[in-house]
Amino acid sequence: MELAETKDISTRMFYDLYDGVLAHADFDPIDERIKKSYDLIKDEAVPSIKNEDWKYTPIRKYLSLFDFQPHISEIPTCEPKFALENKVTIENGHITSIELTKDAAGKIEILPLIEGIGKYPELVEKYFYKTPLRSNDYFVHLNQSFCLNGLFIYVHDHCIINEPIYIQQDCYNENETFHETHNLVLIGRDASMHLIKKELCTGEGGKVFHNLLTDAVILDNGKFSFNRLQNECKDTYQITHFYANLLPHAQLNVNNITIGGAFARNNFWVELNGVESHAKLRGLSLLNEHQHADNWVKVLHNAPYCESDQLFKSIVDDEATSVFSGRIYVAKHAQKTNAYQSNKNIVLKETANSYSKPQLEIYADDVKCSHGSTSGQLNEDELFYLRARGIKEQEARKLLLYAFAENLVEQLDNEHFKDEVKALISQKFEK
Amino acid sequence: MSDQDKIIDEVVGSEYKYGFYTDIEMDTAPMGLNEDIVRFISAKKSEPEWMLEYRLKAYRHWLTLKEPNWAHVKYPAIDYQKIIYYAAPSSTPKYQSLDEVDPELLATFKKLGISLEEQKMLTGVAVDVVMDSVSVKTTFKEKLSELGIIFCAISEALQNHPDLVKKYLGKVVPYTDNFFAALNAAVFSDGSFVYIPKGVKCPMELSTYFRINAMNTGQFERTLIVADEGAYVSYLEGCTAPMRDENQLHAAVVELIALDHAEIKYSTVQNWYPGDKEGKGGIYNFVTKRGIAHKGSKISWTQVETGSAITWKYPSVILKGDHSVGEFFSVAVTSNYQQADTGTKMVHLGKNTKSTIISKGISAGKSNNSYRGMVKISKTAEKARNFSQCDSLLIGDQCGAHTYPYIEVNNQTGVVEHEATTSKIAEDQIFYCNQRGINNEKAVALIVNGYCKEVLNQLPMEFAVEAQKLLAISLEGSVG
Repeated sequence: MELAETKDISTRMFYDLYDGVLAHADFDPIDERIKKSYDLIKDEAVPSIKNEDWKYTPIRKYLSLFDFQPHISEIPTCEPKFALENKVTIENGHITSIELTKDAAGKIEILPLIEGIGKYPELVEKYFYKTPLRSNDYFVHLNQSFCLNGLFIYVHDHCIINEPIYIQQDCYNENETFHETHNLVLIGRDASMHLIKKELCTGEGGKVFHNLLTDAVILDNGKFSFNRLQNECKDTYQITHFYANLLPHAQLNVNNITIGGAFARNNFWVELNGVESHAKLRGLSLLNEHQHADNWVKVLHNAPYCESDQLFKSIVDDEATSVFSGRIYVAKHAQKTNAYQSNKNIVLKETANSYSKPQLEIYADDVKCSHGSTSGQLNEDELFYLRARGIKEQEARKLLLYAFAENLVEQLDNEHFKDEVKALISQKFEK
Repeated sequence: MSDQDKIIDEVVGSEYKYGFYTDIEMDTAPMGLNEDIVRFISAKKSEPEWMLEYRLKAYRHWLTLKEPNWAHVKYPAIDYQKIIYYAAPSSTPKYQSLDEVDPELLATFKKLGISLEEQKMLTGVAVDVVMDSVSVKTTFKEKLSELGIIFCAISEALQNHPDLVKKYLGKVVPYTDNFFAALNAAVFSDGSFVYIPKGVKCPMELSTYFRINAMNTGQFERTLIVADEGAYVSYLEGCTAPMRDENQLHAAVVELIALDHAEIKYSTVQNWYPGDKEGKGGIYNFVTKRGIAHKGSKISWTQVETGSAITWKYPSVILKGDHSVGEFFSVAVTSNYQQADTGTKMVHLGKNTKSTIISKGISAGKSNNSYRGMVKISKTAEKARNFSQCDSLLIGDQCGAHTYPYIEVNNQTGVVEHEATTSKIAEDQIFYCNQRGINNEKAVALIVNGYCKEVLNQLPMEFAVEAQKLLAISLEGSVG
C-alpha cells in the first residue's frame, strides 16, 4: 500500500492539535500515568501495517487523508436533568445534555469525566487508568495523554437500572476534526446496567476522526450490557477501545453493530480477573463500497472457572474490507476455563476482502477452548432450495443474508434496539 | 503423587535415546562467516561459477536482513560468527561399495536402526545418507537411473546436471525470501536433488537420513525435488542428532516443484536433540520448506516433529495452477523446555484449487507449542476451497498451546473453514480404559495415538513405524 509519506503522521501531529496541553485532572496518580503514557509515545510514529496488530488496516493511510483543525480546549459543562428517558447526548465530541429518569437518578451517577474524577478520586485511583495501559496500544496512550473529555458513569452497589441508558453521539462539524473521549464506567456490587450507544451523523459536515475509549470495571456480581450501533455517514473514521475488568461473578455482554462509517477499528480488551465471571461478545459488520471495519478482540482469562464467548460476523460487498483478529489468552492458573471464539464472513464480490486471525494462547491444561472461522459465499444448496420454491434469485440472496445477520441480532437484549437494528439491516440490503 | 503426575513426570523425564557421538576425522572450514567462507564452500564442492555468484549474492543480501522475531519462541541471540559453516567426513573420495565405508559410520547407522545393508536388502528404500553435509553413499541408484530418475546429492547434481539445477534452484524459495533462506543459499553444503522425468512413477520411496555430527557445526541442507509432468514421487526425510550441550543451528531449505499433473509427497520425521531436562542445549531448527504446484498437480507435506529445542518451520504450498491440491499433515510433540512454532501457508492462486490442513500439537512439561498458518485466497483463485483443523492437547499444567491462523479471502467464490480445539486428555476417556483393565500409562498412549492417527496414516509404511517409535520416545512412559 503506497502512502503519502510526505505527511508527518506521528504524535507531534496530535500534540500540535492540543497546543501541547496534556490532560490534567488535578489528581496526582492519574497525572503521573498520563505523563507515563505520553512519554511512551511522544517520539513515536503512528503504527504502520508492519505492526502485527495493524497488518490489515493501513491506519497511517486513513490519517493521512486528514487535515485536522486545532481543538477548542474549553469544555462546555452540563448539569444532569430529569426526563422520561435516560439519555446522554454528545455532539461534535462534547456532552451537551445528560437526562435521567427519577427512578434512575438515585441509583446511577452520570457526570462529565472531570467532575466524576473530582467526586470519586479514591474509586478512580483504585479501578481506573490501569487496564488500558496493559494493552500498550498507541492510540490508548494518545487518548490518555490529551483527552479530558468523556463520561463518568457509576452505578451504585445493589442498584439495578431497569431502563436502558441511551448515549447518542452525533457529529456535524464543518472542519475536519479529531475527537477523543475517555469514558469510565463502574458497575457496583450486585448492580446492573444496560447501555445503548448510537453513533450517527445527522448533518452534513467535514470528515471526522474519533479516538474513543471506554474503561469499564464490573465489581462482584455486577452485570453490564453494552449495545453499540455504528451508523455514521461516510465521512466518519474511528478507532474505539473498549476495556473491561471483570471481578468475581461479574457478567459482561457486548453487542457491536457496524453498519455505517468509512473506517472503524474496534478494540475489545476483556479481562476476566474474578472467578466465575462471564463475558459474551457479539459483533456484526455489514460493509459495502469502500468501508473498512476491523474488530480486534482480546479476552484474557486470568482467573479459574470463567467463561467467554465471542461471535463476530461480517458481510462484505463491493470494495469493502472486514478484518477480525481475536485472541483468547488463558493464564497458567485459570483452570476450568471455557472459551469460545467464532468468526463467520460472507464475501459477496471479488473486490471485497475478508481477513481473519482467530488465535488461541493457552497456558493452562484443564480448559475447553475452541475457535472457528469460516469465509465464503452464500450456500448454493440453500439458494437452490429457495429458488426451487419460486423465489427470485435476488430475493433469495437477500433472505439468506438477512438470516445470516438476524441470527446475531436476535440475541440483542433490548426490543427497541433490536427493531431499530433490523430496520437498518433491511435498509442496507436494499441498496 | 497421583498416577497422572507420575506419567507426566516420566514424560518430562525421559532421556534422549539416540545420544551418541561418532568420532570421525573432519574436514572443516574455519569458524565464522564472510565472503571467503562462501568461496571456500563453493570451491570445496568444485561448483560452477554461476553457483558461486548466486551464493555471494545471497550472502550480501543476508547481511542486509534482520533475524525474524515474530515467532512465539525465545532463545539467546545466535552469534553467526561462532558457527562452523562447513564440515565433511574426510574419507572422500566416494566409496564404490559399502565395505569401503568407515566402519564406525556404519555402526552409527546401525544404532539408528537404518543400517545400509538392511535398507538395501530388506526395505527396498534407496538411501542418500548425509553425514555432516556430504553425501556418503547412494544406493539403488542404478535401478532409479534406468527410469531416468535422478536422485543424488545436490553437489553431485551441480556437476552432472547443472542445467536442471540452474533452472529450478531458488525458484520457489529465492534467497530474498527470509533471513534463514538467505543464509542457507549462501552457505548450504549439501542436500538432495531429485528429478522425476515426465510420466514416471517412482517405484520406491526415496529417503535421506540427515545427521548433525561435528561440534559447532551448523547443518545447512538444500533439497530440490522436481517432478516433471505426470510424475509421482514420495520422499522421506528423517533426522536424529547426538546429544550435546551447545546449541546447534540448522537452517535448511526444501523446494518442491510439481509440474502439470505431477504429485509429490514429502514426509518428515524429525527427532533432533531437544535439549536436556533443564532446557540446556538442543538443536535450533529454522527451516524454509515450500512447494509450487502447477496445473492439476498435488503436493502433500506430512511431518512428525518430536525433536529440536526450537522448531521454526512452515512447509507451504503455492497453488499456482488450476485444480492443484495442497495438503499439510502435522504432529508436533514438545516436552521439557522445547518450543515449536510450526504450521503452513497455503497460497491459492489458481482456479478450483484445494487445500487441507490437519495439525495436531501435543505439549508436555514446560514446553510451548504453537500452530501458525496462513490461508490466502487471492483474487484469481476462483472456487478455491480450504479446510483447516488444528487441535492441541495439553499434558501437565505448565505447558502452553497456541494457535495463530491467518485467513485472507480476496475472492467471493472461495470457501475457507478453520477450526481448532484445545483440551487435555479427558478423565472419562482414561476412566473408560481403566475400566477395561488398561492402566493409565497405556490409556494415555492409546489416546495420543488415536489423536494423531489422522496424520500418522498419511506416512508411508516404512516411516509410520519410525514415527510411532519417536512419538513413544518423546512421550516415554505415556505412549507405548
